[in-house]
Formats: sequence, structure tokens, C-alpha cells
Amino acid sequence: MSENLVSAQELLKVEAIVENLRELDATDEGREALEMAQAGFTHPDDV
Amino acid sequence: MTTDHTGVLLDRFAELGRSVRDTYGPHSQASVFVLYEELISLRTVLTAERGHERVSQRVRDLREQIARAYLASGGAAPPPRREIISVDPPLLRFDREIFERRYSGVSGRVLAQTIEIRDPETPLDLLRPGASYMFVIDEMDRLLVWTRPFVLADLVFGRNRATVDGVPVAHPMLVPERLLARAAGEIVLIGANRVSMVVANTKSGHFQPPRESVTVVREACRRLFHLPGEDVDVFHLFPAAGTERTVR
Repeated sequence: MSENLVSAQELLKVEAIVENLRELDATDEGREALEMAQAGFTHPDDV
Repeated sequence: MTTDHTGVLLDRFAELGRSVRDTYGPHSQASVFVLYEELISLRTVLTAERGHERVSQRVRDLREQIARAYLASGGAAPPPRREIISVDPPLLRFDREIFERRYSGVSGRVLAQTIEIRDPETPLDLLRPGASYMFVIDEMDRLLVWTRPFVLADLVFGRNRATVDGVPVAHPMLVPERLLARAAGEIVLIGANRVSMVVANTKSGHFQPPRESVTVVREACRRLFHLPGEDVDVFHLFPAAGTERTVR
């Protein structure tokens, strides 16, 4: 598959990311999580 | 005239990155998540044309930005519930008592959904390219992957949302017998018919892998997928094992 065609497919994923962010932002809990400054990579609940 | 979708993709990610930084802040989970997704996406493009200079440059930039963000967030980790058995090569053992109390009830079901990755082709029959999965490299250097992909909400809220029978799935559940790991975290396999690139991290609050675990992941990718270092990203969170007490 050509690089240009792969990029076209990846563009669809960007729009999915935008939609996911929008859904999370719609709740207080989700917005707060998106704003967290610890990058989410050691979430306290993960242990 | 053919649309330059790669140019559009780069521009779209740049626009999204700006928007997310303005809305949530440059050090927010949202901002780093978008950078991570951009890296996976652009690496996917590179599998089709490795020499694309603009994409290659952006991938190099993203690697640096994400690496900084990960190191900056590792300090927030809670106290480790594992022992360091050895430093180099690293070997970590999760607390048996905690495991039995919290996780043993459903660990059999998680283990049934866990696969060992042995070659570059087979995993893409079972795992979705570009998606994040939980992995452990055990004491025998086996790469074990839980086959449920993570979605954005899992990653943003913490993986405690990823449950089996109401129990949050944790890395020790992939190695219930001995609870030993050389490395653990999240892994993304990239490629069409075979694994061509890998994006991984050492995000495991339970094992809190030391920096030495990065080498373990890179070596596994070289051995199993025949990938050179430039095709593998491993982002690290935690301090070197040498800064902590070892068991022996």
C-alpha cells in the first residue's frame, strides 16, 4: 500500500481521536482526567 | 491532481496538538496522549515509505517530546510493591500476598487471554496493529501480551477501568505462577503483514520497571521481530534499579 493511501487511512483515526476526546470532555471526571499533569502514565489507580 | 494525504495528516495532527495544548495544557494527559497517537500514526506511514523525510523528522521530534513527558511523570508513582531480584539483567518479583488477595481470583481468565509472541507474523492475526496492549517479559525472556486492546478511556483514567469480572487487570496477572518480570508496560505493534515497528513503554505501576528494562524490550524486539533499534521506541518512566535496594 502506498504511503499516501496509508496516510488517508490514518486521517480517519485522527478524527476518531477527536471524537474520543470530545466524549471524555463532556463529563467533569473526563475533563479533569484530560487536564491531569502527570501524563497519565502512572495513574494512582493502576496500583 | 492527487491529494497529499501525508501532508494533510501532519497538518491535522499539528492542529489537534495546538488545540489540545491550549485547552488542557502542554503537560496534560491529553497533550501527551495526542503526541503518542501521532507517533504511532506516523510510524505506520513510515512502514509504507521509510524514506519520507518530513515524516521521519517529525517522528524524531515526537520521540524526544514523549521521552521527556514520560520521565517527568514517573516520579508520581506510588511506593512499589515488588522486589528487585537483580539489576542487570533486571528481574522483578511482585508481592505474592497482595497478588493473592487482589488478583488471583480472576488471573486464570486473564492468562487464558494472554499469548506468547514468538515471531513477526503471527501476532498480527490476533492483535490489532496500532492498538495498545499490556505486556510482560518474564524471567525466561518470553514476551507475553494480554489480547484485550486498550481504548483512550482506559489510558486516560488508568487501566483500572480494564476489568475482568470487576477486577482491574494488572501486569502480575500475566505471570501468576512466579510473579517475575524483566520488563512490563504497554506495547503497540505496527505493520501490515508482519511487525515492522514497535512503540512501547514501561508503564507498569505494579512492577515499576527500572531503566534496564528498556534494553530487555529492545532485545526482545530484535530477537522476535528482527527489528533494528531505530524501528523501536521504548519510553521509560522510572529511576534506574541501581538507586533502589536489591534483594540479593
